[in-house]
Amino acid sequence: LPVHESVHQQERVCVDVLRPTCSYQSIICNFHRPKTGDALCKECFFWAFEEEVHHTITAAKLFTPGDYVAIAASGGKDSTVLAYIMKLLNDRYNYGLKLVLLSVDEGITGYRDDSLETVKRNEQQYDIPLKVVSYEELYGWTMDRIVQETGRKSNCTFCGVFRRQALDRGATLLEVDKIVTGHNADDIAETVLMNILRGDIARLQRCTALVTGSEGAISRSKPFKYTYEKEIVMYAYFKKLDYFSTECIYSPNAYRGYARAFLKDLEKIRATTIIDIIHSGECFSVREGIKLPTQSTCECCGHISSQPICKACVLLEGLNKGKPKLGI
Amino acid sequence: MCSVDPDELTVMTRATGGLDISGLCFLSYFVHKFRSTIGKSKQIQPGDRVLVATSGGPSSAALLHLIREGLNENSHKKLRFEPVFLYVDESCVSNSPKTGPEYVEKICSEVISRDFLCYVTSLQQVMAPEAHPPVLFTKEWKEMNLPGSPDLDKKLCELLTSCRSISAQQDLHEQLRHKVILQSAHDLGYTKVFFADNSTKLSINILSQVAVGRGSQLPSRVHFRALHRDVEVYRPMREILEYEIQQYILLHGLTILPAPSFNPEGTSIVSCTEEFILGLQKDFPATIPTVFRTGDKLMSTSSGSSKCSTPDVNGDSGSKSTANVNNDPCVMCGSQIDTGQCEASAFIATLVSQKLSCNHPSVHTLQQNSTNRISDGKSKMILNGEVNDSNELKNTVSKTEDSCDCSQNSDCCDGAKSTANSGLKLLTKDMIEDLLCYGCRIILKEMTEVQHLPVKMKQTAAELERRRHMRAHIQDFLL
Repeated sequence: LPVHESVHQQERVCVDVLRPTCSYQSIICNFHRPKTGDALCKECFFWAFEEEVHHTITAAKLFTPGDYVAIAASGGKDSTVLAYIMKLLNDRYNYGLKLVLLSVDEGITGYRDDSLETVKRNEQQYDIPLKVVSYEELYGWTMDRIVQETGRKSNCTFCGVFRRQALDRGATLLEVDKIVTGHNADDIAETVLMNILRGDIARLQRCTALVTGSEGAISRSKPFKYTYEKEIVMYAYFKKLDYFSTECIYSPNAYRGYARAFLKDLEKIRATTIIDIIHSGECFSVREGIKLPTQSTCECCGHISSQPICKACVLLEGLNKGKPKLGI
Repeated sequence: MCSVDPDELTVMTRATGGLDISGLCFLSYFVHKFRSTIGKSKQIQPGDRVLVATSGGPSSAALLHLIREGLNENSHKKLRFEPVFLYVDESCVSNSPKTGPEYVEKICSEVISRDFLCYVTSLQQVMAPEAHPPVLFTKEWKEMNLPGSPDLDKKLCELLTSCRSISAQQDLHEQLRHKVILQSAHDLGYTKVFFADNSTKLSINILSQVAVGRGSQLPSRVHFRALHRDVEVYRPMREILEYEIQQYILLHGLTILPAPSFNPEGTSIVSCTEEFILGLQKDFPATIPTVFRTGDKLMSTSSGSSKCSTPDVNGDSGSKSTANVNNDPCVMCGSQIDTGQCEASAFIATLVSQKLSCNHPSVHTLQQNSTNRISDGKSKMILNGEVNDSNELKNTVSKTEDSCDCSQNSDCCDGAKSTANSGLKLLTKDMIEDLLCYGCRIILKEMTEVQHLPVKMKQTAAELERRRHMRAHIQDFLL
């Protein structure tokens, strides 16, 4: 009998040691915060998460009161949480913003049509109006048809180029002042790594900027720049936010996959690597004497471009003429 | 059939470009790469005295051979500088400490046999208050000639093991090794140093440095010429790939002596990066050259302030960053401090996260205000007040930690103006943290005990801390 009791006591001690208490309140927590490893309870985690995004917004002076801001919404976890947080912080701290959800329909069956349903639900749940622009109406092509023409290797290039313009065009239609996208810390770290691997100096310089955009174009910012993907998922999970969580069906062969796998391995070794990479990226600039592409406008459509004809027009031309590899 | 000279038979395939070439053509290409790297920079003048750091490994062996051949040449293409060699013994932190002296003899004899002078020093010299200058290796070398003592050995091992993760240990080791070599150059009176880093190693370095937050130091670790205070560091083998070096060694029958060095087992950031790059190189043969060339084109911004604010508020962020500008080099690695950045940078974001996650006393009021939803104006003011002055933010964190030290010890106080020794004892993590660059901060965070740091480092840190106090006192009167 004494043996049983001591075993019981041991167990109790172990449980207490394994379950740390929150840094603020003496509640036993169920998890560690992925970013810093500290134990926080749910409520305090929500608060810390929200405060950090608020800090990013205020420190970079992203908005002025009265701004009309479009939230790029894809229905995925980043944009759902972004929409929720923007609304929450706008109310809590009186940013004075007018919000609208802007969604792009690339025409990928089994992926985009499902995620669009999520965005429509978000419209109801968060009470933010929604505008959808589609590749079909803008370019006359859907991603499904493009992949049929080009095969599976370069489709991310098409989609990315078209989507950027689609967002700009949608934003212009709505006459918004600013766009916010849900790019998180993992995305930016991946981009830094990818640009080093591909030798893209020009992009390397720009990719860690919080705010991008030049004269004439609507500026875009990334309030989630320092937010870990895991924390976004954790936030959505505990707040029971609804989002669509499948990978794009055309993505498996993208080069970005390598950078992502590497980043995930690094994160396992040391969790702060993600922010460390972003910090490194912020410290880069280009040596004197290196030629960088200059920015001007496209002769065809008037959008910003570093070549006489912008990439979207080139790709579109290739598709329409039956030579889809043109421009890749 | 060789692609360059059709009469010759193929010995190997150059992977980049996939050309088959013969041994002779390969050798001439290899030597040409080495010569042109030095030549086109026009930095090495005839008569220059150069200290060449050698480790006994493949790149070092190839470098030794190349230099000898280059100096031997009778033509106008003769290399014209005066090299001596330096070997840093790291056996005390390796897996086989007892083989140290044996390798010293082997490696240095190899250098001497080619008619060069060879100096020896050891890694533990970095822990000594006054480093022993490197010792010249002669045929009459005896084991006791090696500078060092068991006490220093122990201190070095303690320092390395005080870092919790292997990544931090490796990073720290790299900084210490660098320090020792530069110190030796200084002691021997050399202003130019050669490192035998090859292209493969540099590419891995580029990515792993980015991953540990040392992006701002890339230029000094990767470019052909880098300036570290008054010593110039050159990397003449930087355009040559590792496997090309292997081939060169094979063709000339050179001996490789893998010396005992710091080689911890387990996954670290560097090992993960190495695996990644070498794996990617197999599928995409242009990976290593591309990464290398990218690193070549990069410079670091001086304070990083230009990249992290909106274009129209540059004026504001400029003044904030000057408030925090730190012209002193990092106490641990000697590079420029890269943490004097604007409000919206990654560095400040990490400080905010730490503050918010650790229940810092000043944060409590913030939490109460926002959850109780007191008038938003007030909470915004408090948050802005806390956050707009990042200087204050850092000071609040450090004050709570070291204010108790000051008040308890009546000898110290008034900004630790007392003798160096008592200042050293009171050095806390927070005090040193401010004096480090981003990458070294990460190492410091992992260290359990600050007291293990080399004495010289602590002295410099204490001195800088005192100067800061002085400066703060007279801040209002400085123009």
